[in-house]
Amino acid sequence: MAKFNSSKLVEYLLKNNVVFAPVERENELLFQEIHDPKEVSSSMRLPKNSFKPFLLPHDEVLFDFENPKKKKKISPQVIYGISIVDLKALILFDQMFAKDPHYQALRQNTLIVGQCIVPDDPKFLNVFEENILERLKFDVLIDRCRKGEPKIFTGSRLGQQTLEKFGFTNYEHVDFKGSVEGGKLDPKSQKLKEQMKKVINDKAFWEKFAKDCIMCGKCTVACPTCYCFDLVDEGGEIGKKQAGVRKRRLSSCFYDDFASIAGGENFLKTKAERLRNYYMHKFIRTPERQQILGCVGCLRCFQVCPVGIDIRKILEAASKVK
Amino acid sequence: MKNPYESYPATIAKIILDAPDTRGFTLQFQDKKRQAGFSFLPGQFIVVGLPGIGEIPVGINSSTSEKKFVQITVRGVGKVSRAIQQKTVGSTLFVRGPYGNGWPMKKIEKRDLLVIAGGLGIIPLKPLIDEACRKDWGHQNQVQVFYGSRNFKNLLFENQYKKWCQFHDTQIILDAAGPRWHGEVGNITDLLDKHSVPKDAIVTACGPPIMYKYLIPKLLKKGYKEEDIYLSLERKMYCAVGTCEHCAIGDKYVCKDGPIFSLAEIKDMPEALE
Repeated sequence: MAKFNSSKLVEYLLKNNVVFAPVERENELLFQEIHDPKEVSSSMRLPKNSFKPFLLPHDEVLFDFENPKKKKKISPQVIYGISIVDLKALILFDQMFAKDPHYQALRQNTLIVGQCIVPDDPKFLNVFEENILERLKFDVLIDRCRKGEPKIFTGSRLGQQTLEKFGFTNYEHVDFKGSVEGGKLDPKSQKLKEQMKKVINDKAFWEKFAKDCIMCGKCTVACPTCYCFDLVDEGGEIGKKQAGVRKRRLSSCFYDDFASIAGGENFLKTKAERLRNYYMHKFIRTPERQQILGCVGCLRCFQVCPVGIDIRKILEAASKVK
Repeated sequence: MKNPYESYPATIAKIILDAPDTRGFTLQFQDKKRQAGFSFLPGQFIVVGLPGIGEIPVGINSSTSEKKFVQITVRGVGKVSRAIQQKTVGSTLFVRGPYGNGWPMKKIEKRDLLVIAGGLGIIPLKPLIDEACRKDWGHQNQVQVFYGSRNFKNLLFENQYKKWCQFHDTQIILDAAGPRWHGEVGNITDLLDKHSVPKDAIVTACGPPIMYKYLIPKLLKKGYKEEDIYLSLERKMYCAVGTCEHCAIGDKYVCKDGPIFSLAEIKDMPEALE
């Protein structure tokens, strides 16, 4: 096959996989499971939700008290049409959950088919560095950003094998060269982190930006890099036997119970403290520990915020501080 | 890959009522190999729980040399701790850990030591005090223990004080006087003025945030160095392995990088000591 046919590829993938792709629904673009190649949207916008639920389900059993060694059955899945910004978030997830067997079990059964999609505001955070593809983990990438025929890249052995079995060989292979050059935070992100450190302990700064926050947590749901979770134990004693499961449930650092403990102490009391913690996580804690920024510049947090808290304005204000 | 969320059943071998609403539990892992292989550092914690109810992080208070069991002390303040309180001898608790960094033992062994405990803060300090009672501990070093409690009834580990006093000076202060108390009354910081304290010592402290608020300026005024003052912090925890983010302060995780931090490490994080 000389000419690439994305619809045929989806049809091929659907034979043996659960496939998730961007779908138009009620005037919104959403990542969800598809059953027919016709459902896949050709829109160049970012889906409203990210790939997150397919690799870090909202609710996931981590441990069975009665049967500790029980293994979950996992069907092979494909995340199709994931954008470059979300591929950056995927890098962070891979690092954060490197030692998490539950994440890894899903991840290793997932074929990633990327798509070059620009966020609504491409200048924000300058996500398009040179040679970006060699800093991302994907199996196949369909570059539809340029005019004419899409250019097809592979980023893994699995990607090559998939395309060859599908019957397409006119691809270019890109070797993964690590998420950051030299394993170090890039200078631009480094600068942003240092600027953020200058305002992080400025109470008035966070009070000003959190003034309208209603602590709904939508930003944390929409954010492709937010992964905070609770552990929830369900079940109880049956007869004399202890039964039940331990689940991971995604939570939000804007909720009241996020940092509160028995006895009444709450370590994140005010909305200003919570907004500060959100930015601390993305622009200080993550870059310090993971050598990558905890924000991929997708702007979903701003798009879903009911009171219009704009990450660009916060970063701009932080970067102006001398 | 090891499942970091797997808990292991442990039987409650003994329960004592140590203080009102506060019980000491002696636990033994049901898997004998796990029990024999369980080792920890003073200041580390375990996560204990009950299916269907949840888990809580609790400091270990038995001695590190004890191989036959693990002891914890639980005060019934929340959903999980109250449920644990209701358990009887022979019941099962689910345990994982130990977690956290523990007190800086190598540094402590070479220096004089000032132990400051407020309320339940005595729990993670007990294995450290036990350690300093060991025959091979450097007894040329001075060890001073200060322990503050709300009242006489709330004092923990009372049967240990005699042993502690053989090796170190132990001073107790209560918030209020009572019929059974003829000792010191006041704030724990008062003890720093009333007693001669080792200079240039390592300070290991554990207590509620309000204690740190008054203690830290006092210690600094007395000339203790920021890098020699160690504080054990309490936070909400779920995973205990540095992933879930609930216990984060600054760029650190209390569960993994802590729960013990030197003042030098956290002084620029207002959220650490608020």
